[in-house]
Amino acid sequence: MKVIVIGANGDMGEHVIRKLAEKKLEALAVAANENQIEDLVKLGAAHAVVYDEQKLIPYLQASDAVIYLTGVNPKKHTSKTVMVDHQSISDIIQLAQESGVRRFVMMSAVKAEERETDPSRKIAAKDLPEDMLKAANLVYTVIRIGQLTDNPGSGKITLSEKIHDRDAEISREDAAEVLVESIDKEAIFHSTIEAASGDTPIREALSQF
Amino acid sequence: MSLTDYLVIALFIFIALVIFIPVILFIYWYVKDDRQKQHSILRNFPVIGKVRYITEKVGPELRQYLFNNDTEGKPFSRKEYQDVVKAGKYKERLIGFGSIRDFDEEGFYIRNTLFPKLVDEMKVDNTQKVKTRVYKVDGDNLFSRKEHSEEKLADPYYLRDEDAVVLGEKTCRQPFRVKGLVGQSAMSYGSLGEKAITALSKGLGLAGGTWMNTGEGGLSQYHLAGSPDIIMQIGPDMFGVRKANGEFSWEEFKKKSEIPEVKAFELKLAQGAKTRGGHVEGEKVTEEIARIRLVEVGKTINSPNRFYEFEDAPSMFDFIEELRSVGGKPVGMKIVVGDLDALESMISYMKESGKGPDFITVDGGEGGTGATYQELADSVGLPIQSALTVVDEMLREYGVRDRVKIIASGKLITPDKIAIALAMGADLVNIARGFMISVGCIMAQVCHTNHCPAGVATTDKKLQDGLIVDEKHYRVCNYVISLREGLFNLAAAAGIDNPTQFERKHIVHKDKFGRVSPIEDILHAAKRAQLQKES
Repeated sequence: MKVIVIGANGDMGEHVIRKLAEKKLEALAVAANENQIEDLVKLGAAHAVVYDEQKLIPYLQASDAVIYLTGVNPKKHTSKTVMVDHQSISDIIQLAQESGVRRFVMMSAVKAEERETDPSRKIAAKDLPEDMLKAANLVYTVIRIGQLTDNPGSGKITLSEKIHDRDAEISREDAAEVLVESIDKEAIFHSTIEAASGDTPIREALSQF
Repeated sequence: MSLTDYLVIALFIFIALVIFIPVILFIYWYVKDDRQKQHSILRNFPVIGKVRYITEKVGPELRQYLFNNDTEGKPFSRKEYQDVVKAGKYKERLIGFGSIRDFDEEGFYIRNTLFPKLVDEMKVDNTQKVKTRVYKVDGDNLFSRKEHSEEKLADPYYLRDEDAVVLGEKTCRQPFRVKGLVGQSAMSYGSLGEKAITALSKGLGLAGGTWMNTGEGGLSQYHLAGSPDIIMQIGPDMFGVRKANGEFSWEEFKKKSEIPEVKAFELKLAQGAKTRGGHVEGEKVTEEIARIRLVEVGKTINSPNRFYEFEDAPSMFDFIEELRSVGGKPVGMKIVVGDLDALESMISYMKESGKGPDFITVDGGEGGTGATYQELADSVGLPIQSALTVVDEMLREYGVRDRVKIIASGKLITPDKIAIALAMGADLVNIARGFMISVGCIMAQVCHTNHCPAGVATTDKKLQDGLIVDEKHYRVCNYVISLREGLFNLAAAAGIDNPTQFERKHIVHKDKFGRVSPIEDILHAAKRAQLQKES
């Protein structure tokens, strides 16, 4: 199975690429600039390319699934207007549909729906990318993750439609594993789930959801 | 007995404790001080004169905690010390409200560029995380300070493979590639205790991309405890590679060179603190030390201040050639720069013969952890900033710079100082005292007494009880990683994509009057001084 990882250069990307390699899945890493290519290949990516919409099409066509990573971090972006480059996600969703990739896993953040509780209505649509993905003709899963930490992964999480503790943490390593493991878990197709560190082994949590 | 009786007895006891005993003690001390013939102050001012000796004893500590301001204090200021400790404990080196460096004083500065490199543009290899532990502060009040340690996956800040520094690339069967620019300088087992050495070994092994120099006291199992890359040092006494009669043992050398952790050898011609032969008291030569060093148990060792094996550059180079062919690993030498003529004739012979060391460790006169004599520590050998530039330039002049790497050492314990040394011509940097601090050293300045209060520079089992290897080795790891991270920060500021690119043009010297001059000025001055010596 080939998985294309968009935004592989970020601090989540390297964990995702490593997890894919561990699972013997072929990873196509899409990075922001040339300098990161070498590292991504070293981490276990089968191919690594610099983000370029035109060149992306053949890669998308060759892939079975997309993992879309963003620089989201709920702590960093509280009260900021935009967390994700909306244009880029819109483009990727469009390209994915055209290229015939069916499976699309998107990383989002627990606080992405901040708008709903913001009375001033000044905070822009942080969850707009999620809505765009849901409206598309794709087998999507949105995974909203808690606050990211650099602690080593424990392999255990809590998974829920809405996590009670909005400040719950999760290690990057665990978050990456959730993203990678969710590619083939039918239980979570067409759904939005939230993940933070917890007590259930990741695979089990995803299959039983 | 009635209550009053009890009270009377209690009163007597009280008076005895509070008045009689102190009075008796006072009289005893008074008479003792008055009659002794050693200290004039005590003879003239019995008892009260003791204050002088007590405060003198705790002076280094008091100065550090109370009286010196943060930038004072030698060899390292409170500030420098804290920089090392914080990097080790928290892996966090942010400061607030600006620098406390005295900008009116003269010193070296790194030239930043108008358009620095972005993080994304740096040639750094963070693909392999290091699993370490860092402290997080929970609460910090006047009388209580709570913190806990937690596991963390840290970016190791390795150099990319293509930027790795290689010792003995063209000369050895097994060159030594190193993916970081900072390693641990020579510290022997014996001068540091087994716990300190073990903590260093484990920390450096965990961090990777660094090395550990054994010091001339031979290779012990403590050095190998964490499987770090090792540079084994060989001093004139040739501990660990000698025969019973003191001659060099090729058989033992071959054995050592077959240990996979041992990546290179270093012949110690001199070191900053000790331009003399070593001395180990017989009582310190325990069975274990004797086994490691291959000497006789209980017998005092007085080592020569020069190898018997060679007496000039040609014979030394032949010896190096043979070491390299037997061991298959890089061979370097450690020097202190003093007389430029002797250095120049050696380097010119390097060119002439095509032979020579794979690396030269240049120790500044300020270098050296250990026990030595004041006159040698203070005034023999050039400090690193002068020495380094001179060696680098001389190697370039004779066209042999590409054959040999320079390792610099001498109080280079923070990233900025390391970057300046790299710009002056160093390829790699050795740190000793910074690593001692990271395993608990409090700068009590008693390394030579075996009474180190932190259990670092002592082989005393009791004192070493204070040093917990499992806790300290993370600090060693965090410290070395922080240094590498700091070097990448500085490289970005200077507009280069990794710290191996530092050159002379990246630094300047500013004098007291604000005048700025290039590093080349050091060379002109050094040449002038040498000419004066000759004439």
